[in-house]
Amino acid sequence: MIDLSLSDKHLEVYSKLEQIVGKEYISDDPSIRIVHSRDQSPFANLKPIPPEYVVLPENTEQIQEIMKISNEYKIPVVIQNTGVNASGACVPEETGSILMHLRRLNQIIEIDDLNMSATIQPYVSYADLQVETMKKGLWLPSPAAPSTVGVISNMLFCGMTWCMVKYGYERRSIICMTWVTPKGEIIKTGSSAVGNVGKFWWNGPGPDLKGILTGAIGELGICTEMTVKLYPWVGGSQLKPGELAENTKILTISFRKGERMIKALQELSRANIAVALTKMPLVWSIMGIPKYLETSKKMWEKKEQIEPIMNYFVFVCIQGITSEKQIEYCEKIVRQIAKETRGMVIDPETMSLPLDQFDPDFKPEENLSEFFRAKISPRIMRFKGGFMPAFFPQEPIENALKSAELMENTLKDSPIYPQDLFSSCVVPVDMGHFGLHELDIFYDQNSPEELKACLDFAVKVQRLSQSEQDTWPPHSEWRSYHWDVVKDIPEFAILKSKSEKIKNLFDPNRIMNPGKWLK
Amino acid sequence: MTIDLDEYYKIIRNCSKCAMCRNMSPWDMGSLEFKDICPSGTRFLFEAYFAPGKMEITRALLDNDIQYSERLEHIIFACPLCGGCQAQCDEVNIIKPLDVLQELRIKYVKAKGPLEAHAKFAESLKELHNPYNEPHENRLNWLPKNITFNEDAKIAYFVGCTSSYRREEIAKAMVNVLDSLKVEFNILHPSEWCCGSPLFMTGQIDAGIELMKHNLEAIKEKGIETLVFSCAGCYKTFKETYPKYVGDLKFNVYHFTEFIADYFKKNDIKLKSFPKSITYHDPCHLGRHSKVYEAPREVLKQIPGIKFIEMERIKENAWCCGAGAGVSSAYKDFAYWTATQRLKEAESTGADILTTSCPFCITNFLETSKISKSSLEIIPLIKILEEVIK
Ligand SMILES: Cc1cc2nc3c(=O)[nH]c(=O)nc-3n(C[C@H](O)[C@H](O)[C@H](O)COP(=O)(O)OP(=O)(O)OC[C@H]3O[C@@H](n4cnc5c(N)ncnc54)[C@H](O)[C@@H]3O)c2cc1C
Repeated sequence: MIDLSLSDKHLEVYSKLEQIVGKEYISDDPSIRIVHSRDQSPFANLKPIPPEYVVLPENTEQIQEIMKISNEYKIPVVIQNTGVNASGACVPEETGSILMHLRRLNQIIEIDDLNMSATIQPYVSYADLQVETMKKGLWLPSPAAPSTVGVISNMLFCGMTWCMVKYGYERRSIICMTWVTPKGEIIKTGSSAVGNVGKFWWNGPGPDLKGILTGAIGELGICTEMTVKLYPWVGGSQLKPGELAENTKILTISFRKGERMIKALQELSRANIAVALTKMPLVWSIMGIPKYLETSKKMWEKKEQIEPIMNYFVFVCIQGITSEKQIEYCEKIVRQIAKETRGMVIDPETMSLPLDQFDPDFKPEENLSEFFRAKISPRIMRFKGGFMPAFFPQEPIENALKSAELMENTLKDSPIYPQDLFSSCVVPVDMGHFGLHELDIFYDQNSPEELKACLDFAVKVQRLSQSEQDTWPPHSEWRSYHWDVVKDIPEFAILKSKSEKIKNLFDPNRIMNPGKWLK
Repeated sequence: MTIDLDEYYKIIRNCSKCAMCRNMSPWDMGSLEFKDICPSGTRFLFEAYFAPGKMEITRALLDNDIQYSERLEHIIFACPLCGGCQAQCDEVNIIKPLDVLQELRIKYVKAKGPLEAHAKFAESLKELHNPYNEPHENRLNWLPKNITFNEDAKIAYFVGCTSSYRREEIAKAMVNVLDSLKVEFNILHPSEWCCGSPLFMTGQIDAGIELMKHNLEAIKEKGIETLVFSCAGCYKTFKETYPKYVGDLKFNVYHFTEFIADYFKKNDIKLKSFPKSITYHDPCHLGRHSKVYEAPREVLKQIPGIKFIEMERIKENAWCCGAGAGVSSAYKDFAYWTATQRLKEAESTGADILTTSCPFCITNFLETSKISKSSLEIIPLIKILEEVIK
């Protein structure tokens, strides 16, 4: 049974919160609270805890007021924006918490097309922002999380896209922020900190505060407004499902050998010609393509037939940003690099051949918008019901094969599906300075054994990679459990103690999103 | 068969809360203003009102984590069961939130009985065979004098309660159109009873099944081979709901838009011009529930002079009118709020006329437009056809 009891001060706190947000926007009803007690992650599935109050503030001022009450009563506050983190990051760690849902902060405040930026509130999603900015020839790439996730929460939480080779981590696109600290004060970052000069500069005055605030999984306060960079978009004012965006081409290259694929990824990144570039994992390609679960399952069973062309499989997306000729030029380079690295550029017809036998209605073009505005990525959940990135290193691209091998070997001995579903992708970042490697594992949320095995496996693989490979554990999605993974590494002990100091400075009562970033 | 919630428990628990069901498909989105798909969540804002929340609530009820409360009743019933969530979920996962919600209502009614407003129309249905408390013998009051039925016809028009008692102009237009097209048809009256949709949609299935049995018997007795509907709700009930209980029906069912689209394909027919700009609202029961999206559009596009303009949210992504599944009787304000959003979207197309192919949607739009002072003319599609076929 999930504990839905109320604390002694409940009525007093409830009435104060109600005064701030209004009757309609607060609830302590069990059916409203229970919804926030769990998400698909092993963390929250194994330890469901409902909040005591759910509040829906309307603006920054109300959020400040709520933080003052929570400090007065020392009540933890958990922030939920679009709530798709899928890893327990919006589920309370303690009973008695206030769940602050940011749904009502849902406005695009301004699109500055001349200076290529947009100022938005948290509940504005990538899809929301793109539909409005693409009309003006601008965009911000969406992550492979459903594009209905909030731009702000994604940037603060993770922020990886298929387009990182060109545009980097989403965080790189933050210009200014308005931030409510856990004490209820306001911080403005970048040029918005100095009056009305405009929102165009992110660094300073003085130290770059944005660097501290992002990545703390909401433990240092709440971002209520953000100005983000936008980039030129030449794909047309609206995405047309089933059609590739205008002025755009996607080339797929298959490699027989991993080393050659790595070389190609490095060369393609360095050439600075791709808008999106990734080695797509086999399972993702399969899950993403056919419309129906049964077809995907059938395909999975016959994966040996498909694997030879799909295992080392690279997608390159190019766009004619400056002119139509740019596409021709970029394609020439892609083909040249493929030739030099002995990759085979596959035309869509050939690609559909091995897949056709499973689904005659298979149309690869149905999914062509996914790189720009993700929709079908949650199909990854269909196999088992739950998924979790078990390993998420940022590493030099050349490490990718070694890590893949390490992970595969570790997975083979694991109690969770040693027989199937090995899935890892490599996405070059920042013109190839490094790459992101992701290994996903799958589990049934109904099975406590599988949930537990997932967590154990995630910790094990992180530890192993740390000791054998010296690979960074995730830093863009750092979670409190990672401190355990690195506890034997002296440098991390120092980092942790500094992090604690920062936390105490911002949040002396330790009420803000507790347990998400620090333990 | 319908789903068994206990058996389905594991699937419900596996809802990943990816929340794709909160908005229309991101690939089809045209603007920030018209991107919502879930009237219930968009209006009441708490996560519990969106499908992932409702899945968690279902899980919690099955696990006895929560008990029924006034709020829970509101969460379960202040929802037009439009299926917007399911249309989105079908693209990515296998949860089937609409089916779960329907079963949740049945579970609720078994435990707590129907909502007061729903019990009221159930009573009327039991006694008078319509939810409007109208005498059964008045069911055919709308019938134009010039229309005669062919008692031997194999085609019958199932009029439905809303067209019989509230939107008589639709019933009239329907028989006039069939008559003009020289279709030999019959009706079931006095044996036509409500299709049961209001009962099935509000969790009162036992009473719904009684109506179903009666109607199926009446159809069998008259030897009907093809049943045509002017109501999207009746059509959906016959096409989708009845087979869940009795398997394949032994006759064909057509919504009038399908019937006429097919007729236009097979017959060369001259239509009068209708020089207006028109936008079309997909009724949930016809669109998402029965997957009929093209027929009404084909029909409209056949009419000379019409300038057809689509709204942003169409077909699988259509925003509901807000009236269905007992919302209009139990939560009138919410039904009007939902319709207001749709009227705004229709107005934004610049069209003169909003048309649709469901009498229930039409009623809600007409009532709402009076309050919201909408500039749109709201005309049933069958009325437009009546005018151009005459
Ligand atoms: C199928 C799938 C694929 C995914 N792929 C990717 C991917 O490719 N790239 C990627 O980046 N992510 C990916 N994710 C992870 C995740 O969904 C996204 O990162 C998502 O943006 C995070 O959730 P959210 O935006 O809904 O925020 P929430 O879940 O609402 O919040 C996330 C965290 O941020 C905190 N927070 C929220 N809003 C604020 C605020 N305004 N101020 C301060 N703190 C706040 C919350 O308390 C919480 O701890 C994927 C997830 C799924 C399910």
